[in-house]
Amino acid sequence: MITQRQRRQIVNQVDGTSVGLSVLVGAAISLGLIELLASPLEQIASVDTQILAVQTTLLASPLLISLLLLLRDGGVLVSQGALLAGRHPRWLHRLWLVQVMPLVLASLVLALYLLAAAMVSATLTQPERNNIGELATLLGSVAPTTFALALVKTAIFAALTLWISLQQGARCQRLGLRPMAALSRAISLTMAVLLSLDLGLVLAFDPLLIRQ
Amino acid sequence: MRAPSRTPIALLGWRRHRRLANGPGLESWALISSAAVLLLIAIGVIGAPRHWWGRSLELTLNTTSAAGLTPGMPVKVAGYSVGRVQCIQLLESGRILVKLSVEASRAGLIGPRSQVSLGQDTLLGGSYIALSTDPQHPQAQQRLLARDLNLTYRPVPGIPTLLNELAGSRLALQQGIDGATALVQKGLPRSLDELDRTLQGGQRLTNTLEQELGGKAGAISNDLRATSTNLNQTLSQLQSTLEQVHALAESSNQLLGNLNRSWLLRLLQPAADPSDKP
Repeated sequence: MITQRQRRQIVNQVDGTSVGLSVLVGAAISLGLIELLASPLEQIASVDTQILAVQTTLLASPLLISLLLLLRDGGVLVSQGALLAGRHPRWLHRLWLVQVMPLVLASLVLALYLLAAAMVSATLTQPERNNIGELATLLGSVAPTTFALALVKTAIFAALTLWISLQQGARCQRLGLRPMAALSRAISLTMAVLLSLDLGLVLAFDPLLIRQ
Repeated sequence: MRAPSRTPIALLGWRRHRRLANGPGLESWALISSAAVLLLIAIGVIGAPRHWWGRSLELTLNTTSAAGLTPGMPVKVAGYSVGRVQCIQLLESGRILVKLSVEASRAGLIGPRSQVSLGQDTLLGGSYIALSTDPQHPQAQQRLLARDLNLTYRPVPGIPTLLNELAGSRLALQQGIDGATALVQKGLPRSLDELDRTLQGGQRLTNTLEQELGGKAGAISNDLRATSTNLNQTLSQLQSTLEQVHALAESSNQLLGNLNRSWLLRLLQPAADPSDKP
């Protein structure tokens, strides 16, 4: 059951700056990939290029959203972890439970904006065509399992980011390190864990099976 | 709530933390609502071509090869997209089971005699499953919707098969060319010689005919001319004879009229029957 405080946190986790940054990242990656792919192919298969760019953005979106969350909330989370350094680890776990729901939902909202921006910008690379129809084609080409897996990965990665940041804040406080070091270590450790997890997921699940 | 510490990062975090403690902002609500709408649109658009929101006809293909087939591939009737490939399974028997999902509104176009093949839009375009039409009555259409339909699929021959067929065709073609070459080398000169001789014989015959016709033509013409003269004379004589016959007939007619009016013949006529009077 979501408490009143959690509801406030969920809503306020999503602000214009974060959404704007997500949209910018989605558009930049999608357009960059299309530009990269279309130039050697001389735009022979533009729709295929767009689909490939959207699918790649879909694959990378959980990691990108985690990075955005870490850059936005990393300082706060490390500080909150440092506050609980002298207490029992149960307190850290309790803080994670309080924060995880708002952060996961915020990450899902940001992921949707990022994917929407990627698809719209991919469609706009061919302005002479029927943009609405092409947008529907692009979205229809996304397999439901791929779309759902991207959202699930985004949620899991956000929860992991939160836990690692809190842990590193508490650890640095116990070791007497500066908060800057805690933040730096939280960023590098989160990226390493998430990339390893992503690699493990790719190796564990057959991509063809996922597509079916 | 107590401030954590006075470092720059902690201050930044504390400012954000204080903002979180305030009530939800209109901007945040608007952004979350927009995200929810985006999610609904995404689910709707992803589900539409997969017939999540309506009835669909499920077709099953049992084939020996899944070459060129992929899940999600469009299914088209006469080039118009009507469905998608749902899944492809490898059976224990080694055969391939392909399930297609087709819009229920197009079920009337598909029947048990529909043929399935692999098509391609353009040379560089994507592949699709092509269905031939087999129009059904509405009752048969309902029966089809009630149960799945099994169709036969003709797999696209692979490159090795095509090369084998091409090699077989090339051998047969080579044999034909060899036979034709032998015929041309041996039979054709003989035939040409025979044709040449035949033409020479025809030429000689023509010359002979011309010569014979040239000698006899004058005599035939004279005979015809004499015959024509005789015929004219005969016709003149016949005409004068006919005139004389005509004159003779007129005089005979006149003589008979005079005889009919004479008293001698009236005496010779029998008396009239009194019973004939009224």
